[in-house]
Amino acid sequence: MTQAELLLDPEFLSRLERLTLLSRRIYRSGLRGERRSGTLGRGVEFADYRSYQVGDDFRYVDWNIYARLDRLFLKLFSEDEDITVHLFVDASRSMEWGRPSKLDYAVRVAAALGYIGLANLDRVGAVAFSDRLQKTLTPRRGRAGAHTLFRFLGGFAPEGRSNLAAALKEYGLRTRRRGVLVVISDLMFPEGVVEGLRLARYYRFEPFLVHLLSDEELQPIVDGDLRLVDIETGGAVEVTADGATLDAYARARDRYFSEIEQFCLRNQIEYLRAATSIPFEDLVLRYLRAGGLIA
Amino acid sequence: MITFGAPAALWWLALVPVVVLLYMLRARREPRLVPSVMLWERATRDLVARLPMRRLERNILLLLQLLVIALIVLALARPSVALRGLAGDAVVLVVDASASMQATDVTPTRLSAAQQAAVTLLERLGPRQPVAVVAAGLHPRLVAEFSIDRAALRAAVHGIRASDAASAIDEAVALAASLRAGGRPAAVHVFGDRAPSDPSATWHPVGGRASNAGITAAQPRLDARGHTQLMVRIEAFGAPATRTVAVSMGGRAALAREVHVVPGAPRVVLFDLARGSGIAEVALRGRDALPVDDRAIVAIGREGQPTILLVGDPNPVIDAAFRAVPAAEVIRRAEVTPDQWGRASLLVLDRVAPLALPPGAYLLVGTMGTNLPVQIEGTATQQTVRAVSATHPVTRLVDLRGARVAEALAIKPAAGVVLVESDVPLVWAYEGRGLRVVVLLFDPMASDLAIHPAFPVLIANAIDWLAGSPQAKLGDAPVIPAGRWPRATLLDPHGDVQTIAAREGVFIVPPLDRVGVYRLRTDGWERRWVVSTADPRESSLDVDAAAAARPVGPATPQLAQVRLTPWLLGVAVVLIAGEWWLWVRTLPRRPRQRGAP
Repeated sequence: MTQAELLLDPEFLSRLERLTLLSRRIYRSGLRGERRSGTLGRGVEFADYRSYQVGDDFRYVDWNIYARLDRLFLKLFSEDEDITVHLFVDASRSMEWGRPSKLDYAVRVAAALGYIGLANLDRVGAVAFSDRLQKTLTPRRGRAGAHTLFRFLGGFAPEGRSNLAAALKEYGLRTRRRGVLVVISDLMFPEGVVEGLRLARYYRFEPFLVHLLSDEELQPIVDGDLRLVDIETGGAVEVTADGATLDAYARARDRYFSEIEQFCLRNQIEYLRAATSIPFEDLVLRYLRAGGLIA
Repeated sequence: MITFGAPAALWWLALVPVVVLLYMLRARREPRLVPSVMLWERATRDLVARLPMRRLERNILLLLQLLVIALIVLALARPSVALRGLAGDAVVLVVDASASMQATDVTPTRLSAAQQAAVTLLERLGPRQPVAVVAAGLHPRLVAEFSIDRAALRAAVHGIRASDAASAIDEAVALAASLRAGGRPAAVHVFGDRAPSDPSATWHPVGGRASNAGITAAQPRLDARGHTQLMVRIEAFGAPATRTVAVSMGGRAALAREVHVVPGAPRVVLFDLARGSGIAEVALRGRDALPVDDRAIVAIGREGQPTILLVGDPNPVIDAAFRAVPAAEVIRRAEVTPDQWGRASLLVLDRVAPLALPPGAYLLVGTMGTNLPVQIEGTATQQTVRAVSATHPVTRLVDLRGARVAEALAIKPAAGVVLVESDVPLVWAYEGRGLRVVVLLFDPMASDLAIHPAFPVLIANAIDWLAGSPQAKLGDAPVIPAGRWPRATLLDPHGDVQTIAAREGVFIVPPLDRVGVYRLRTDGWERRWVVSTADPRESSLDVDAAAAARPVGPATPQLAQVRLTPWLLGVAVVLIAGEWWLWVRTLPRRPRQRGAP
């Protein structure tokens, strides 16, 4: 995908600018932003009073209260801060499947989310992962970073096999910034999904899981005696694709989805499953908003 | 017990292992890339958990295919099974009408007793039960179709008369078993003195053990001096007998001789007859259980022989041959018109100019009828006989191979049979359009046939085939060219008269089934046939005691031969439909378009 393709429709970008990324938790980043932080200080929005203590700035003393009560109280204002958004995109071989490919779709979702973050003065970083960190873009701030982000995302190429746990372990050790971790993946790997999400919680990220699937993964179109070869691992399974086999596949699929949903529910992880056949704009403007990632 | 009409079809069962082999060879798997096999592995684990059922599901199509093949192969083998109680309510009464049924060991005769037994059963049946009647005479005959009209059925039973021939009882039972009333087979009841071989038929035996003596053969012959002798064979059945054999001619007793015969040792008695012709009647005096075989009728001399009209110039070879064959009268005329040849049984046209032949019997010598289906292509010379028909009655016992002919008409027949041939046909026979013709396509004077011993035999056979021999056997059904007469009257030995209409130029006489003289008359001519003796197999009157001990009567459960082929094919069709349904069920379902996650 070229950068030009990655650049989103100007009208769509303007719609994105009206959106903000939501976070249930407040993170201390050290820089003032447009997001109300837990820190009470020099903002403009009144938050509370507290008794004066030695050393406090007299400029924040509420003299009206002192006149009435003859006691010194300090006015507290909430301080606006930014958050860091980590876009964690699966770039393994399985992501090249589908029409459009899951990777193209994931990159566009990441670009849209990144642009929303940058437009709201949040820090946005991006990672392409497989069973390791393939490429990393350190978090940056400001709308000027969009170009860099888009170029970075446009350089993703499917490679290797997935292991979310291994990739997150490496990433958690590498970065100190915590924040919203948007994982965009097909989760089509047997190991590392649950461990990876647990690691994300352990590193105090706030994970948001976008589960992307192609239609063929949801409803395979296969018939007859087949030897199915895994595009990532090269492993093979021999099946006779008849009605009973497809029913068993549907049961396994639903059970797997249910396991992930239950895990996310128990661990307060936002989870959104989407098919690549859904128009990209609908996913961002409708389903991600409904899912609570943006507002 | 299952029986097969075409057991060789079971060889097709060899297809079964072929199908199994093809099924095994079919299981080659096509490789296909997928984004992940993780869910497929989980799905197959799920399927393995239900493996016994899966194996059954996978194999059920194969099993159904094998079953369908087996059923179709079985159907091709035309199986049938005899089941009790499946015979319908309908009943077929088969009454034996053979000569032995005239035996008087049962009062008044076996036939009357059989008819009475059949009527008794008829009256015991329900009023709505359909009944048919078959007479088992020389040939089985359906005398009453399925009906509930008891009076008509009784009349049909009583109208059956015994012949002097043997009965085709098994053919009659087969005919009865093939009848269907409302699509269902009928119960078959046989009334007679011969057990049917079909065990599904209920036999009501009539008669028992009875001794009898009878004439089993009578025929004339010439002794070494040329005198006519009458040879009579007498046999005894059951017990020795001493009887007087009397021969009379023209109503006058001529000779009588007493003979003593014991069972198993037939006696042959020769009677010297005076010169002359006529009908000789042989009688076995005294009483026994079967009168019909105590009498024989024999045509002697020229009695009943054809009148032959030879037309053409004298021909020494032909004339000599006709002097050697039996004939009532042989007349030669140099010339005759069709109006004048009416009374002759056979017309021999000897080297006359070709002419259109009116319906009738002809021997053509060196000439041809203009209305015969041949094309004359000229003449052929120096012909040597190479082949002679081995099956046609005219060339029976005739071997003319090597005989030479100086010149013959070369013809190309469009119908008929070539009996003797060289490079071209030499003797040709044709029957049709009211004509019966034998053509010698050469002048015997221009051949060496005169010295060939087979030539008189050929002429005698030709006369027999063209004009008919007066001596007939039981069951013969003569076919006589009708000539210009549209109908004829048949008078049988008992004086019964029957009118026969000409069909396609011939009179087809019903099978001769009585001993005596049959006369076929038109306004212009009369033909006679003499049936000498009753069927010798009928003289033994013993009824099979073992077979007679079989349970009889309507209480006997009926065996119905049920053909399984339609049922097997029906089940095969159902299985094919079921297999198709199962196969469609196992097809992968088409995914629906998803509108939302």
